[in-house]
Amino acid sequence: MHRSINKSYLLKLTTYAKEKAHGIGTTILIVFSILLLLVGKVNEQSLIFFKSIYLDATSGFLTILGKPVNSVSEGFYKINDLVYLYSENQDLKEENQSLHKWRHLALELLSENEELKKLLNGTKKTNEKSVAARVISNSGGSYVKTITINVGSKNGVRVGNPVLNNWGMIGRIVEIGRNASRVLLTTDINSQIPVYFENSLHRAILVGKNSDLLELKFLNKRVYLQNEERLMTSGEGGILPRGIPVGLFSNKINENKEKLNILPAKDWDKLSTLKVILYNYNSGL
Amino acid sequence: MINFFNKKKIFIKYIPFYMTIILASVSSTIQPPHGYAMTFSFIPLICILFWSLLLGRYFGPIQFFFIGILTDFLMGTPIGSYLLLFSIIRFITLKVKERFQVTFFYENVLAATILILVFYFFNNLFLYIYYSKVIISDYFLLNIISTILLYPAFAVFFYWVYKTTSLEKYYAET
Repeated sequence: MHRSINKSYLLKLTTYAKEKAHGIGTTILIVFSILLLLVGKVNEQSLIFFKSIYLDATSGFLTILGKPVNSVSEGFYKINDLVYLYSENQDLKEENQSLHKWRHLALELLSENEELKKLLNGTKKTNEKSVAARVISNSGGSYVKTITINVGSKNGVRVGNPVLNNWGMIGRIVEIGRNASRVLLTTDINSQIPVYFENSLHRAILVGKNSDLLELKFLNKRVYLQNEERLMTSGEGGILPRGIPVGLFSNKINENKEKLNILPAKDWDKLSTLKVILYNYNSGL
Repeated sequence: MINFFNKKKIFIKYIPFYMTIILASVSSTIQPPHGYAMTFSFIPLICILFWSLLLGRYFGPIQFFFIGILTDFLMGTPIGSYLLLFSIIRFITLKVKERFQVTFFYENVLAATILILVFYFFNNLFLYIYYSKVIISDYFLLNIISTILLYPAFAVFFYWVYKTTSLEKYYAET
């Protein structure tokens, strides 16, 4: 009898101890995470080493893991394309007609430009160095908008280098490993890019909102903005090169709105093959 | 031989942890549909909520530590942010489980729906404290709704795993 009482007492004690331990475990976890956040906030460089190790270690694994997943999703997209085939064809016909007009204009301007350059004895601009990249993974949440690409310091990529799709800039490198790097997309809440309007030359800062639109800040009041005018990187601060298209101003999305919204690079979320411009901000391209 | 069975037992016991890690990694490689501003359901949250509601304190803090850190690395968020958010949601989940005795499937889904909303509230609160910014957009709402709507599908799959592997037996022995 005495022995059984002791046993049940011991069992109760063990259960109580386990519950307490789990409670303490959660508290320790919360305190530890706050400490990690504080360390990251005070000295960001201290955790970069671990991040770059992680990027290198997982790039291969995530590439392999992503292959079957991507094949399935590509299948879905193909079905989706077939569903919208007719409407897409109509849109493309319209776009093609307007592009014909621009093509003629571009050819005219090109020849005129060449002639003017000859007159001025101008030299040809050196081609920018760039490297092609493929997307390994993405954040996919509402909190951050980042992607991981399969090029790193081994390929000459540096922190701050702009990442482009066929239309323009979609982000910039923020973390770097040997074989992979992380790109902060222009739509991320932490992205701020100094820009200017291509034709009117007004300067401003383009800020991400974690949505499919960007916001324009610090633009002078009482300025006339042309519809469909592109926004280019101004190169102020020296981290990004000047003259990369990064957004498009449209009257359509700014009707009766106090804040100025800007469309990001076309198909910024399609994440196909990208291009990283190997820009050395100490010595230019 | 006994050693082999012990190893198997430990492996089965940690299936929820392995599944969360694998599904979190796989979800990061899925390309979100075009036109939705790269918004996709938050799979790690679905996993941790389900297993916490089912296993309670047996889905332990050490497992949470690794899942939180991995999510931070996968998403590119400041290290410790998801760890903190997951720890808070674990604490609340355990309190909910203790108070309401979540046993049936529909109770699990209902509790998870409320906890997902709580998680996103803390997520925005964290953003406000850390970055002095708040996300208010249609896509934020889409993220919450897609996570809530995907939860039952994952819950059915996890229940199936739970029954097939007889996980309850392994936890009852401890």
